[in-house]
Amino acid sequence: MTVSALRRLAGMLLTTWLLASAVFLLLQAAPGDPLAALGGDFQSTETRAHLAQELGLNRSLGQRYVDWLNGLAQADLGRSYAYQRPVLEVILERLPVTFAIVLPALLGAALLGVALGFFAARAPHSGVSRLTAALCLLLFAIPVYWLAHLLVQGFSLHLGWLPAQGLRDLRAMHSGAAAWLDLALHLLLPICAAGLHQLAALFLIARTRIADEMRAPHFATAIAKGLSLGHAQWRHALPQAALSLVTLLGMRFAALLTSATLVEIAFGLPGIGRLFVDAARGRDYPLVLGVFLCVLLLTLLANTLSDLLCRQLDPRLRGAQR
Amino acid sequence: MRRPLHPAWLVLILMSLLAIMAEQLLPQAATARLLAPFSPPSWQAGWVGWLGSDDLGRSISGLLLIGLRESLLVAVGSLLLALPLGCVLGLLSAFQGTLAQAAERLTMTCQVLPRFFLAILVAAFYGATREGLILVLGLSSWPLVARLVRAETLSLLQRPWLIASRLDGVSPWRLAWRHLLPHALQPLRAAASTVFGAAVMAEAAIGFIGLGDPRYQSLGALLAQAFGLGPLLPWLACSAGGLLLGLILLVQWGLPPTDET
Repeated sequence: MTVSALRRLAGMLLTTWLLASAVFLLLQAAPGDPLAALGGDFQSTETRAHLAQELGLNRSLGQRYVDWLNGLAQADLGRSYAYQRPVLEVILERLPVTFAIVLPALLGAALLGVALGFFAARAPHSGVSRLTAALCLLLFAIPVYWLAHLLVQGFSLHLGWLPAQGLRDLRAMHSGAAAWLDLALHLLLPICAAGLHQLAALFLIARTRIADEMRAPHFATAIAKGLSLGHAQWRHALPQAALSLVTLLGMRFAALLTSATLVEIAFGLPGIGRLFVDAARGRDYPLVLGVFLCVLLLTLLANTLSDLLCRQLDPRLRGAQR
Repeated sequence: MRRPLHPAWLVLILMSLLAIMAEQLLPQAATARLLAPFSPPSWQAGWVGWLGSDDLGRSISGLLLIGLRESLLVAVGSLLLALPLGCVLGLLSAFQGTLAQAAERLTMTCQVLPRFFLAILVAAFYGATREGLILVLGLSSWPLVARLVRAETLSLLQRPWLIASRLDGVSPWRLAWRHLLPHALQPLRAAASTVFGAAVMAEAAIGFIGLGDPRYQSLGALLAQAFGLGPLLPWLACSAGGLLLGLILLVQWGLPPTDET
């Protein structure tokens, strides 16, 4: 177990290093000149030289790469050009917002999607089951930002129940529990917009997988032994289906981060997705690289976690080396 | 025995034909002011005025056709890159040897690449072009194809008739071409559907955040434009979003995708 976990960790680090280096080179090879962008149109040679000295841009590509790796090893991602602060600090400031959208969305989608799939699998061809499936197919195919817009139109503008934008109510200065409630109300629509897509995906897969297991001989045996349908499903169909669901959850994490980015833009929330888009637009090289690395690490972490969870769920995988 | 064409494909082919002829049907729809701004939908002006005009006086039906053309171009382009790459690398990684291991390692590495973020990065630093987007989406979505082809090949290699032909001394290339690829078609179709849908979604999302090719109108950019107008042009958002939704649903209907991403 320890050896295989260490192997996985080494593989993860190797993948991160390879991909991050590729993106580093991609950025360095990009056309355009960060000095020209920072110094403005009428910069003197001295300003230019000074800027280059300060940012380390007068060094060769190899040296800069080594410097960057050196910094990475010490958890130093460099200084952002636009914010004039360490990149890590800026990212850590924005990360909680993204987590506050992604984690509830993921958790809610997993619980609700599997629960709905559990019941829909009992009668896959019934009217209700088909209607839910059709609705989920629609939710799965709709662009996240359109869904966000529709939710705002419905719940904020029409009904006036929930706030349409931002993280806090700027007019009322809440404190204590009221502030948390305010935050939760602001996050409710973004979480729904990001989560409904995942919910739909999980429901569709859960329904199919659980229904598949219910057609297997071992399930018929369980029913024949006299177990109730719910009990048999819980003990003899869900655990088997859980394996592919957990794998899917890990793999969908990148898609969820993409949805979160679009949702952050649609709702004006200061998360890392919007930070990335702004940094890329403003040609903030260190920040872009830093956020990309962060997204990469989060994706890899989600994959590894779902792998380890699968191992816990399936005794057959525990003995395997890979 | 040939099955009749799936109805979804008939609609898709019709849509593609319309999209290809966008410039002929409605010339200069994306650039010229053909109608008065905010004209309501009407039949009188023919195709141009069918869905009315946007806040700049551009024909919405024309914009939709051009957006559809861009979606289809990007999706087909990235599919044409991802399928051959995925097939070759997937087949390669199913065999034994250093090359196979390298191919598998490469697939596993590229599989976790955050496609959307890479597309944003390339659009911002290398210029927002349609070709760049096709390149990024194509080069980042082949691992799915490769994984499915690899899994299918591994199970096929255990079949008796394949072992027989290997023992018979059939060359690996002939084996791959004549005996493996035809059987891997089923997972390939599912992978193609997933890649196609993901590319359509990604193209629209990139357009929505304003990093699409400024020479052409993306459906995502149309949605962003509609949101900016608030409640003024409800049918712009509905028609652009509906077209996007319809396109993705049609592809899913015609070719069921895989569960994996």
